[in-house]
Amino acid sequence: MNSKHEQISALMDDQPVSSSALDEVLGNDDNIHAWSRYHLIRDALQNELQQESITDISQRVSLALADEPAILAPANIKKPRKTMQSVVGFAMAASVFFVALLGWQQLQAPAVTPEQNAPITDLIANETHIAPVTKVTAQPAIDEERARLEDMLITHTEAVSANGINLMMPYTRVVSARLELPTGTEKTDQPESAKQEQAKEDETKTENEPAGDANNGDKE
Amino acid sequence: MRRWLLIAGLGFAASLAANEPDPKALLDRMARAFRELNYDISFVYIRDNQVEPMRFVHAYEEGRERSRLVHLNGDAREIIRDDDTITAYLADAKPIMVDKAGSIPFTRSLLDNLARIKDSYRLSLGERERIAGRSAQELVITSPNNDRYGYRIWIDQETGLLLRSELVSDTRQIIEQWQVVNFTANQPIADAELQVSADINPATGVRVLPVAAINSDEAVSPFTVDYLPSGFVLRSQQLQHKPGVDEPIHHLLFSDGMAAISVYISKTPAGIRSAERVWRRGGMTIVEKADSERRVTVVGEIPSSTARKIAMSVRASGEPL
Repeated sequence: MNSKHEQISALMDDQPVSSSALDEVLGNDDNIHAWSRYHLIRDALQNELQQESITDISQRVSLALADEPAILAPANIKKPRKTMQSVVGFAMAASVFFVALLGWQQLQAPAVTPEQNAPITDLIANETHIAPVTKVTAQPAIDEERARLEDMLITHTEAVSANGINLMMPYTRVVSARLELPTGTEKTDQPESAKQEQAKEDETKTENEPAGDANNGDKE
Repeated sequence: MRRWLLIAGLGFAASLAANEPDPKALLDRMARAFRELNYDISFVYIRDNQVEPMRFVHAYEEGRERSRLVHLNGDAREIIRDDDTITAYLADAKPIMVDKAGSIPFTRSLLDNLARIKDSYRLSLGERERIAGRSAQELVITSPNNDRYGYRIWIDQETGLLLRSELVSDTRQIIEQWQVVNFTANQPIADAELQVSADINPATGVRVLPVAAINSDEAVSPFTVDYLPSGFVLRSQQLQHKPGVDEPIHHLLFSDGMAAISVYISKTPAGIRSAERVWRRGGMTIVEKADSERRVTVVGEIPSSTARKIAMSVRASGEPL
């Protein structure tokens, strides 16, 4: 004769059970409770829990738990573990990326340098670093001006791409870190020579290192 | 293999070696591969001492071209393309959709490019190298003129796709680099990979940017660009009608087959008497020059000195020099 639990399992799995075994299962309150708990577990595993039965189930589970020895098992243990796994996964992916990057940088004999005629003075020479994470706050006038320039970058790229002129993935430069406004002179009454000098000076600035320029009112 | 290495090493024009890959054929193959293959690549874009990681997914099926470019750092910035519809999601701004009317047959464009390249550049085969774990053929494209940049590109031997590129100034400094780090090609691309990320929520609606191409055979631009570097020719003309703005923006695209220059001409907004601005990001230059009547903006992968000369040379057709 099988144990009671095995009989209940057999019943759950729709396996043939002798009528005497069935009587034995049904004639015992513990067995009937076990039978309903097993169904509850199976339904939960198969995601078959009905909304209306949840209250009933929670009562039953908490009643059953009252009889169990205390085990520290927070109900939502599964979720944080999953998050941890994805954090670890991301960290691993990120480190693989940085290893790849470092390895590659070391192979680069000539470091990326800006156009010779426009040296970038505010950055540490020859040091390549990850571009700062783009964070933008809303500034309507600047946003409008930036949108105008971005429109030009986008339509330029589109025209270039439509003409089959591609030496990188199209739009790489468009998606590149958020556009800062070009520096330069506007509406000034300075003599022409001073204006040119100003423009020349402005050209040496990068968008990430805006230098203090009293002449330029719309800088971020 | 050894024979052409020797030939390249001795500095002979590679096209003389009849059995070896022709640089122009490689470029042609690359342009077609860009457009006609399925691929999913992660790459880094290096410019101005910054490294930016991005991913580009591209699918081509029965003539329909779809792609998605994603910046992997910071605020979500993505470009989604579905054939002729391009939508740019640029961080906090309203998404921009380019609504294009009319386009140029792609094959004709490629032939035009190849025909022009040989007038302005010298093409030579470099070495075979391992790039992104793959076998690549280097191609060196130099210009005898200092008014434009040169290129070094590495093309995947199996697929013809680009694996690495460098933009080089006339003093041989690298202005920007682009390099693949992870590469899959010729695999089916799932639809989900071509959709905008779930963390972008374009709740504010889309800003449509209507662009009408003008057939350059019949259109005469009301503006003349007096100075262009040798070899650059007009490739397309467009009119942009922005909502709420009466005067359209004229957009002229010039190319020498490798580099491209856009010239935008519009009416100067009220309140501006004059302006001159220069802006650079990697290989991309924007120079803007305005007087009381019109505002000229030059956009292109050219040195800023060249862009400035072009901007200064724009005048209304019929206007005296």
